[in-house]
Amino acid sequence: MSAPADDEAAARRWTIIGGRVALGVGMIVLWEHSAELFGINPFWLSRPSLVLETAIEFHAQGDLWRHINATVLETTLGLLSGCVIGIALGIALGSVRILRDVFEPFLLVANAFPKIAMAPLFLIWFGIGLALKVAVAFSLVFIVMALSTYSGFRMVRPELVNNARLMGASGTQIFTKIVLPSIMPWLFAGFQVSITFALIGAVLGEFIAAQAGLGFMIDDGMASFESSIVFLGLVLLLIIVWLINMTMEWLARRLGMEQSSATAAYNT
Amino acid sequence: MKRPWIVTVQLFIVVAFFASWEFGARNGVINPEWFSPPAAVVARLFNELAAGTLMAHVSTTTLETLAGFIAGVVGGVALGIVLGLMDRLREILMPYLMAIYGIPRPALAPIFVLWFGIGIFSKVMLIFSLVYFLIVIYVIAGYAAVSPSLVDFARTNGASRRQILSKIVIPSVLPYIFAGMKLGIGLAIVGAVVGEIIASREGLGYYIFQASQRADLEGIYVGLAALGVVSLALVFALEWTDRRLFHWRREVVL
Repeated sequence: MSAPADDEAAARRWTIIGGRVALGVGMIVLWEHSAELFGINPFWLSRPSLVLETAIEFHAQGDLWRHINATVLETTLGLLSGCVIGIALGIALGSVRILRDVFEPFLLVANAFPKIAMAPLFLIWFGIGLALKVAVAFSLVFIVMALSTYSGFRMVRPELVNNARLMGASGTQIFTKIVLPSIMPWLFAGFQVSITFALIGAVLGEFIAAQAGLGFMIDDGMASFESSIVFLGLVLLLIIVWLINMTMEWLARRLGMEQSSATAAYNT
Repeated sequence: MKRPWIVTVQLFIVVAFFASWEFGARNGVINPEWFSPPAAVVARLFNELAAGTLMAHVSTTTLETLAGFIAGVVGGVALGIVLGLMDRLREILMPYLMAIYGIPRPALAPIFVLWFGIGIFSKVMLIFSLVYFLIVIYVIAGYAAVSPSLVDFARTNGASRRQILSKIVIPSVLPYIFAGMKLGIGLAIVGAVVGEIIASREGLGYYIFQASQRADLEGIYVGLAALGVVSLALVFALEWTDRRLFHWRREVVL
């Protein structure tokens, strides 16, 4: 019987879970009492209770959802437009050999360039409205989607395609039965990265110029030296990211997608 | 390895792109208030280089990026090694590390300005925090990728701890550190630019943002060109080193 080994494994698991919970709770308690314990002025760090109070205040004025909705809208539009154009570009580059050979270096340079620095240019092109944030999010997303789609194409096994062709499969059949299933994990991984990138793009766009949104909230809190507002904005961002990650993990399990089987280096 | 006609086509595309941009902007086919003619941008670039104004911003951004990047890599490798050796601590910290890793971290820039002011130091700290957690995650992934059967095999054949470390563990982890560094340098530049855009008095991010506030389009393009040179040089230098050192390795998968 392996009872002692089981006991040991169970004890180990509980140490880890207990340690995690203790660490989480401990951090919040330390943060709440940082002023008394370490003499850190709440001006710098705020406190969880102050952040909560600020949240309630914002909610009472109807601003909380206004900011959240603005950022979510910008993120969604940037994500969708970036995905459509990026995947189309990726498919073009992936399926036409000449296009790939010619355009690959341009794509790699575009990936290495810090696209976020384009935001001030977009400010001139698109003004201070919604289009600015969507453009920033788009610029981050479409490169990721183009690169991941086309990396997926490189993973399609040529012998499978040849076999299918020999056995008389049509172009459509080859695409839906072989190419699409091979590139799906890459599309999925790229999409996962893209969601976060779209969110970063929206927030950074709001740093440049905005009247609403979580980035606006964070930037405004900084400018008025209200650390509670800054932290509220960051906490809300964290919750959004957390919800997105949970959803994506659930989706990955549902679709039987191997987590992070397909990753590559993307740059904001 | 590369067919020469491809390079020719690529050069042609670049030339055609800038030529049509130049021609279009001069003839009002494309809005010159959106796209300054490249010739004017180049002229302005040389003026600013001669006046010495641009180089100061270039060196500020480069300095911030490298200082934060190197500190982040050193610190991240150190913590990664400690966590790689201490299983339980690692498993306790892992969800928190992943949570921090998952934050859209460039959004943290304002908190660093609040804490460390608008000078270079706040950017270095921001970049440090961006790179640090990335490297920690990659070092831990590298440890996980060390083949246990290889270690067992070495041990049964009488290899010492030191030999196992130097012959198996370090060669397995190093490519991961480099993969992290390649990602980290891009993040470091982004951190510098974002920090400079939101609150600063120097650096290329500041330069570009100020130009946009004055609606000085040429200035924006000059800043972007300079930033492009700096970032591509840093990214491809690391890429090149990585290829030289680890041409033998398998794909690094996190």
